[in-house]
Amino acid sequence: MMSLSRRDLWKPALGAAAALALRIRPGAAQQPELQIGALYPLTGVAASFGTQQANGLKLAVQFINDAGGVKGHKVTLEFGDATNNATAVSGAERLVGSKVPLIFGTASSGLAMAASPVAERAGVVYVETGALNAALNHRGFKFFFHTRANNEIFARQALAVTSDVLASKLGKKPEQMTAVVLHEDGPFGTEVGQLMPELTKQPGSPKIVSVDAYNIGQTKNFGPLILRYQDLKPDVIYWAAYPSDAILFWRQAKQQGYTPPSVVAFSSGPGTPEFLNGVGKEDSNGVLVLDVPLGINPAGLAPEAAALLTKFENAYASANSGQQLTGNGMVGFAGGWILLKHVLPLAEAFTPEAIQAALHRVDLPEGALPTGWGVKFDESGQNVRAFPIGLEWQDGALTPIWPAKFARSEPKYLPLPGSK
Amino acid sequence: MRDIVQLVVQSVLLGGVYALLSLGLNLIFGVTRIVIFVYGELVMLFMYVGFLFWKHSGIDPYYALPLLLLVAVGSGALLYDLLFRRLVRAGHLAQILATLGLSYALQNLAQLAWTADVQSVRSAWNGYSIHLARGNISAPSLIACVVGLLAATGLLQYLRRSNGGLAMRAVAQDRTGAELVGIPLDRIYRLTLVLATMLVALSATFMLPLFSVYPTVGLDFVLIAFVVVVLGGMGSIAGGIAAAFIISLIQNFSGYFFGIEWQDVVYFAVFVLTLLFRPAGLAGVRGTEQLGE
Repeated sequence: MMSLSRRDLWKPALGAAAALALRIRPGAAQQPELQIGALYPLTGVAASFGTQQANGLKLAVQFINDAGGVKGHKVTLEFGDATNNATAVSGAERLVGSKVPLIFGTASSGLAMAASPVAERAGVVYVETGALNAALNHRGFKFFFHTRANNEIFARQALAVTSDVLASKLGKKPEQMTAVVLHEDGPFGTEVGQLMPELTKQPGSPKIVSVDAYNIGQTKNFGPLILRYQDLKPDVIYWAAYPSDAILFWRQAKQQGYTPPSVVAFSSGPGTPEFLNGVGKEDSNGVLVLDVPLGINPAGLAPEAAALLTKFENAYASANSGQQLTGNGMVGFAGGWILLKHVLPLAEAFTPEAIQAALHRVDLPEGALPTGWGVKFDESGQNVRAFPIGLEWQDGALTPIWPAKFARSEPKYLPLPGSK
Repeated sequence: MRDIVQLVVQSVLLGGVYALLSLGLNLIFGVTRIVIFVYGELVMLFMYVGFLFWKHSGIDPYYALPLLLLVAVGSGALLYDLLFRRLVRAGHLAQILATLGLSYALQNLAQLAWTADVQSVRSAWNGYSIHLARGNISAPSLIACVVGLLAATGLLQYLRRSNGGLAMRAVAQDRTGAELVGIPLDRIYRLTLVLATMLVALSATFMLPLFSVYPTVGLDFVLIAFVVVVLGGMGSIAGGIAAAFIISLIQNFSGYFFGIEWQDVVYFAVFVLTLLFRPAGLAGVRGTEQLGE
């Protein structure tokens, strides 16, 4: 038997003391973790959308963890950077490889289209918080879910706001109005270009007289198009554009002396602070954007949702060094909140199949979320109770004007100033 | 008819902008024969400098020109000494890989530095237009076009009259021959890079009130610049200027008559067809279509 002198005892004693100390510290390393994937463009062309959605998602995780986590589990996000389609795919593969049961993504339709099949093949739940493409829902996928409204819902809302608001402001019946669809030629814009003519076949809809596609990078000159619109004189432009092309078109139109009587933008470009900076307060007035319910009148919300909204708005500002909260931040949060607060607690286990079943079980009425949405996923994985609202640029502020229960103001600049 | 007038006017204005944009590339390409894929990013970087100048000083972005030209002199020389000096004698593959790699690096650095946000300036001139019978001409477009034409004329004069310009033309026509008659290649290449970078700075200054800047905007510009230069004929500044206006006319008219989605298809088709029958471009000297020695 080894003889122990006092000098040798200090090492095990120190070790024991350390072990005791670690055990005594409350909550340390004993709480089980739930790791969830998050695949967003954090660099690259879509980085502004991606980082904002990721920031919203991170806050949802933080709120949940502060309240004890999901079924006692601390939620951690493992991030992948989907700079472009190739890295979106490799990011998804890596996340699937780390055995997460659920991946949030992707802010952009193109990236979502690329990455989500990876999850589907592996039987991992993929929750899209931001992209708009309805085609994402029509692939027959079983594990793909979309928390935000898709282009089909947007298109229906576009027609609804046309009849509810634009028609009376322009002094015409909807079926007397003419419209053009101006869209970028990526998956987002092209779908809008297909949906609007489809939907306007219904009686009581405006007549679409032109559908114009352009390439976002290459098209630096909208001159010929603006000339055509000056000839066609549409009552409304349905617009699907990203920030740089939106700024370019609007500026060139103004310079050429063309202002349409009304514009309905499908989220994205014309709803961004970049657009406001690019065209200026005065020229932005009256542009109507269908977008994430942001800055809404909380009277239209359930009380807990209203309280959560205030909490989130304050937290976002302080967590992101005063960076303005945009629709992207909001949808990231909403998507995260739906899953972490309302779906995962319903799941029998943290496996993809159980989460998938829980996603189909969840049923919340409109007004339940801080965005005013409800939650109900249809067979295609679309949350049919998500919707955009109508916001009008008023003196540099994007102001909710429709539907009435969420509105902060009446429409102020319709028809657009300068249109004849 | 009024539409046609407006289209012609717009084509001229845009042609001037395209000419301005492609002058620097024309010079580098013509003299050094380097396939410079990083050209768009150079434009992007100077646009950012101009944007930052406006943002932090509040002074109209046009007044950033002296600053940008100064930066151009220094950075042009640096660019040559650090990179292009080696590329001049390197094979095409090395040139493409090096400049393409630099292009990606610069795009990502720009994004790290300034985020992916689309940044725009508003010059006091943005609000001014000249009213025509149908529609207006915006002041910034007119200014950019005039500057483009002046710069092109200035460059042509320099190449025709000055010793440096003469030497550049000699190198552009026949590198080996120029060397044989004692033209110091290294100095001429450096001069070319500096001059070209100054032209980039010039174009960035006057394009900034027209176009927003973001890290990948270079990709949008480089394609049209290449088409203009190659269509015009390498080694020919005058050819490049003519090509700029031709491209612009084709774009505007096809965009109007066929729809905006056609405007790029048509000019590209014309470009490809022209090269099939005149591989050296419109005004190119036969043989200059061969890259390298």
